[in-house]
Amino acid sequence: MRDIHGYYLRLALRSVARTPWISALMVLAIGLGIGACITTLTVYHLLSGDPLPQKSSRIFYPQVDPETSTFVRRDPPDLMDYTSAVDLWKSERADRQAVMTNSPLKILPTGAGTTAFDAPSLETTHDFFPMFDVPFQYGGPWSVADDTARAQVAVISKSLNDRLFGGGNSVGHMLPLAHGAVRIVGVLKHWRPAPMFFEVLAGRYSHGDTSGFYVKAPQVYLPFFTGMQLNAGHFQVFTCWKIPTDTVNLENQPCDWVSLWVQLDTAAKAQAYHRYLVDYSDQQRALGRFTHPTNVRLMDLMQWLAYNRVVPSDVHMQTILAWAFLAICLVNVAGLLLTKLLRRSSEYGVRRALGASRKAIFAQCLWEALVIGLLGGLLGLLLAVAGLWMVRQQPVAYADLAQPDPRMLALTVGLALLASVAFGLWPAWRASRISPAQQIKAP
Amino acid sequence: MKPFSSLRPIFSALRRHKAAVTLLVLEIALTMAVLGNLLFIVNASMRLEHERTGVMGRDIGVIQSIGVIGTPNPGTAAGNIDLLDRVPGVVAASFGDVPFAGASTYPVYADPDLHKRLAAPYLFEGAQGYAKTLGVQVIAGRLPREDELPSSNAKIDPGLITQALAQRLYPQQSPLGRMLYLGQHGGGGVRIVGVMRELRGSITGRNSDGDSILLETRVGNQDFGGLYLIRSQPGQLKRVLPLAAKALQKANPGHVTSRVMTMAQIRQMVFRGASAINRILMAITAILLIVTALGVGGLASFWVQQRTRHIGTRRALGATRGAILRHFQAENLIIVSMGVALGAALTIGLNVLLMQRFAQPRLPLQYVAFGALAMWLLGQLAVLGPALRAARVPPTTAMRAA
Repeated sequence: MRDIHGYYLRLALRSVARTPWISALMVLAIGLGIGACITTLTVYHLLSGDPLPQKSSRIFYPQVDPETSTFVRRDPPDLMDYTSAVDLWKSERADRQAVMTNSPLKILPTGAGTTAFDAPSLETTHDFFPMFDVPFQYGGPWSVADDTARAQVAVISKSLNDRLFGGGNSVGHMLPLAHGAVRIVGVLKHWRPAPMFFEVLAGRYSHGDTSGFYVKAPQVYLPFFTGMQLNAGHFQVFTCWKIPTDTVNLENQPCDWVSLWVQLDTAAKAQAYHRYLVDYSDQQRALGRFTHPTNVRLMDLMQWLAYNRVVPSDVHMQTILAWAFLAICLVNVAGLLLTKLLRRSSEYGVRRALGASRKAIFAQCLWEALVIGLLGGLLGLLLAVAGLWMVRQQPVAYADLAQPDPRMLALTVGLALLASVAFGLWPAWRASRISPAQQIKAP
Repeated sequence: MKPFSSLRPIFSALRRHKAAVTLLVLEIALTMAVLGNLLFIVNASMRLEHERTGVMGRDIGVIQSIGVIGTPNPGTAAGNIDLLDRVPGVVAASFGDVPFAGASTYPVYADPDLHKRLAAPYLFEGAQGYAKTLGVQVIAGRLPREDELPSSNAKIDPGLITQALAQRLYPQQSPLGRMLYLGQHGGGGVRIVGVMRELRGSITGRNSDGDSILLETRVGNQDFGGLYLIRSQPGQLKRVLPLAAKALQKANPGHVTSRVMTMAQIRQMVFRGASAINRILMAITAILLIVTALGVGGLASFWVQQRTRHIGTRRALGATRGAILRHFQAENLIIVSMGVALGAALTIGLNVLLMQRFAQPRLPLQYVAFGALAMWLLGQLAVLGPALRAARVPPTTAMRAA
């Protein structure tokens, strides 16, 4: 049986070589279709991936509805007010918990010829680092005590460390800010979560334009309460339900602007935490601070990303168009293969007359489709590498992520086999139906 | 020659090649569906690149001057505006947001208690001379008077809204004198004193792009950084903007000039991503057409080869070269027409899918018509070579092959 298929393979190769132009055309068409598909599927896969694969199912995003306006939302707001977030953080009911917000932070490098610049910063608490498995190059996170002590410390990213300290160990050095300096306690390794999940929100209002979720991680990390003092006036609110009386110090304002992430290691703990959120909400309403009916959510990380529809809609659309493109290429190739096989009708007629079964003719033709499909796949893989290079040239936040990936290889083989069957099946069947008598009679 | 007598051999030939004809029809239909939708997407996106913002963009330049905290600076905001105003070639100068940069949306309410939310327009805030610098066109009411400009901590500001916002909030009524309340923005109210023809905060293609409010606030001796704006005399911006930036930097040694850009450059930057994607989509469209043309051509060429003997016979029986050529052209026209019929349905089907999943607008029927035309043309071009070859088949072929 293997010998027979080896023979068919040799026949197929010979047949491909005998009609170089039409074969090249078929390989090119398959290559273009597969190339477009692999490019878009790879980008899609990268953008829809799990940013924290080892523990995303244990990371949760609690939501409550702290608003008191007459307008009641169906879904709780995407962020919390300061009081609720800090209350829940202080309660320590989760295995780990971190409050966070972000702001642009002005850095004033010392030395001649340097200019001030804004660095994206995250104001958070100790647990952020162990909870999200943030990798450190030098030093480590600030301590739990530093959180409440408003310690004047910071963790900086690799890129900022490269820029300010030439990549050296800057732990213990001072980071000069607009209002005084903070001591660096840790420097991160290269860290590029995609999407930057802990700042994903309001995806429902973005009309599919979500490429901003894939920006690079912040460059400065300050203890939350330290940041409140150091960078007051630079925090952005998500929404306010009453007119704020102070837009600089937002702590007691009727605005949503702080997020809370928690780690809950078991399903039972997650259930208990959800109950705790309900209790907290009920209790706050009893105190008169909340007025809306209790409306809490506890989505895990991947649910939160799905809720925010993180994959940009143009990436979705390009993926659909790429499939349509592949379909067109396949129909084209099917047409070409059909004509090519039927052109050799007399050859098959002779083989049938000499005793070859329909199955044998069918197998032989399918082998030919397979050879063309695999050659096309190979070309498609090369084109996909070029396609990803083109994506990297785009001015989008995720451009740097579009790198070739070993999984593309398996995808290519899968697509090539699928394509071969798709375009080869019908022509092969048609060729196998050729009646021997008629072909031999024909001159 | 009777036109229909020549069609009969075509139909009988098509019936004998059902498989190949089916594939050709599918090929044409799929290509047409993707082509129509791609062109629609690209065209809609390219049209956005030329959508107006409502400001005199060609003559407006921005200078982002950032104060470095802790560095003493003699300049003041009001002084800087005066200074820019005096730069030769400057028509007006101010400080504030511009479309694409700075202007962002805020919810507005009908009542000061923020119960009744009306819309989320773009808020354009600037200093004295702001509306004049942007060059917005006032079609009803007036600009805020010099003496009613509030300082930064006022509770009620006189403001202008766009015609689009006015029609949505107060259909059939005059918006002048009405009040709007801003939720999170220092909590002020806005008394509408004028209506602008148009002013867009960004260009996304949504109707809400044109919902805007413009507020002027008086700035005085404070020293602050941000976006300073100038409007030059028509066509003079390239020359005037660097002069203005230099003058501003000289008067503010404690500031850092981080960006000097014309509105045209900002616009180009905003649309950079979209233009790049459009170029890729156009390239895909071209490849698509080439692949399909080659496919159609390949099939036609096979047919010609297969029927060489028939053609020779017809030629020997008196058919002219022109008749053979027309035979293949007519055959192609018939097949492509069947493809076009199916393709029209597929084009609309794909559009409906994209409408449901990506909020794409409905495809105008011109795109179906254009797609059909493109397919007929493509088919005729693809078949021309093989058909000409067929026409060159000498009548003697029929006898030789026998």
